[in-house]
Amino acid sequence: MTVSDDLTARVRAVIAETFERDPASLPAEPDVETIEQWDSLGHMQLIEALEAAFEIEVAHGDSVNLLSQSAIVAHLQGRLGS
Amino acid sequence: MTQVYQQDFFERSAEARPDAVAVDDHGATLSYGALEARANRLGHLLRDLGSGPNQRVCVFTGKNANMYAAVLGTLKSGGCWVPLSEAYPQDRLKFLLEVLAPKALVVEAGTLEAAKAARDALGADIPLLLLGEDGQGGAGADLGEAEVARQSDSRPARADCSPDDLAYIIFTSGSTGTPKGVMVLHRNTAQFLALCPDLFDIEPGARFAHFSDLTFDPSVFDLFHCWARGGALVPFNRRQYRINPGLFIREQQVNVLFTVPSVIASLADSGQLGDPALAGLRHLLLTGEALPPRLLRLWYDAYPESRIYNMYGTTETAIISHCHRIPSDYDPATPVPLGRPLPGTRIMLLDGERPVATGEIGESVVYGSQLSPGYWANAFQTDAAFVANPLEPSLPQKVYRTGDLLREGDDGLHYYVGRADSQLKVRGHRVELGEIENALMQLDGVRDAAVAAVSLSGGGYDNRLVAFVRGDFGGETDALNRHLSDRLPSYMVPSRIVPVLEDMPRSPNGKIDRQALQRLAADALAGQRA
Repeated sequence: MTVSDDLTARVRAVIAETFERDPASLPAEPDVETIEQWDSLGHMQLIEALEAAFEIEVAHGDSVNLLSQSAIVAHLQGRLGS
Repeated sequence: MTQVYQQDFFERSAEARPDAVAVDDHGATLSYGALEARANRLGHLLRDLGSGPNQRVCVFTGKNANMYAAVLGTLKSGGCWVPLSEAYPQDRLKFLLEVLAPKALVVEAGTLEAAKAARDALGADIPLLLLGEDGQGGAGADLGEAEVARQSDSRPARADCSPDDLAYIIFTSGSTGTPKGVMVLHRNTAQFLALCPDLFDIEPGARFAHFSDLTFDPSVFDLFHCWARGGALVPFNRRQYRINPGLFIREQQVNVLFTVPSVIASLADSGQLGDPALAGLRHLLLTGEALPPRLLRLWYDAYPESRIYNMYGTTETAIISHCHRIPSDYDPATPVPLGRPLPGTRIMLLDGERPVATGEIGESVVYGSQLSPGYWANAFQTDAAFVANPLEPSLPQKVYRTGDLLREGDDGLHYYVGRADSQLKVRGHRVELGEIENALMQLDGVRDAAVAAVSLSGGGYDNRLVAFVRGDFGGETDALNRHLSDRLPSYMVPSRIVPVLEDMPRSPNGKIDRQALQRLAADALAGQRA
């Protein structure tokens, strides 16, 4: 498993936990359109969960663009240097 | 041709520019000619189902071409469209079907199940018409695209109707616990739509956002002024846009947006103001919430060529009664005016039945060409809100007591002050706190309930609701939350429910102390965020 794969797996775990989904049931590329619970309130909860899991703070200007797993992973790679 | 009926504002453009784009749903476009033909077919079918003057047709779809064809088709059948929201729980759908007794319920795949459940629970004989690709085979509905396709493309003969017939009914929150259906006549809506070209001077062919749900009447402007200007209607219908409205404006190249100030606050807070890709938004119409002066300054500093309008009105006055273009050199240290009443609308500012002097606060009491005749099948609420003119009781025309407190400045402009009762706006929707409190009181074990609203910014444009509940429910708020979610639209479900062990805070005369409650609500929300 690469570092990127590991990060993706961690993000998937946070998404699954936030939206109370079985990680195995998530689509390959979960996003706001494919996860029913990922609405504006769910998005706030997800950002909070990501902040806690990765011990970072996400600026509001960044958070509104984190609308898919890949966008979150890319953002975290930039932040965490992985 | 004088435009008398709501559909006239579409049909004139359909005749003049049949090949122009009327709807652009993420690249799936529909021309005026194609939308006209589809609406004509629906009009014939709905008329066969019994639609006609003052007959109701419920439109229960997402924001898309099906919705637009259903609205226009209903009008072409001579009937009155009534929007149902996907946010409505089954109890509310059932209630609305019962009081409306519509001639048809237009649905699509995503709403079919909820519509059937509500209709079957009621045991009513209301035909379900399923539109869209899933409508080809019926798929459990009574009628589908096959029946629509059999109809003629030609415009149905104008029904024997008058401008005093219903164009639409929109339901709003009611303080007694049941929603109120505001009846809007063709002449009410035609009066407003006829004023729009002069009020806004929007360029022909502009791209208008269809931003609000159809159950929120700014959408009437979105649809019909767009089409009157030969513009393209761009539905705001993706979840990513709700989280980031800036994406919608950029990707869909929106020129006209009628929305609530909190949307602009979200753009400002996320650092998007100044993005040149948002500069195409040339007309920004804001309503439904207090307009923070700092937002105006931030927007104009970023986009000095755009125009911002502060809009104020009630559903009972056919969308808006005031419109004020804010100059780009607006001083944010001064309050934001609502402007003057629109032509044809008269406003009295009253303290009880006494007119107030310039500078004093009074309740806005409205009459004139845009005033609704009242609430559907609700004589009690109609008689309470639509009353004889207190200054000239002998006049036959009723006036509407808005419950909004305004002040007229020395400049002759009106300024919004607040509400005279417990009604407020949440995410742009009108909410009566009493309706939520009544819903809570219906639950076994609840002895007392009170709801307070807190604006996190203090600006009144981002209200959050907190419910305080006393009773024998074991302090378990999840059940209360589920109970409310089953009965109320999602925007009316409080962010927090707080069990109260002893009593509500009360004033010396025994009434609930709303100010104290509001302080407690602010503390509760702060605790939740901490």
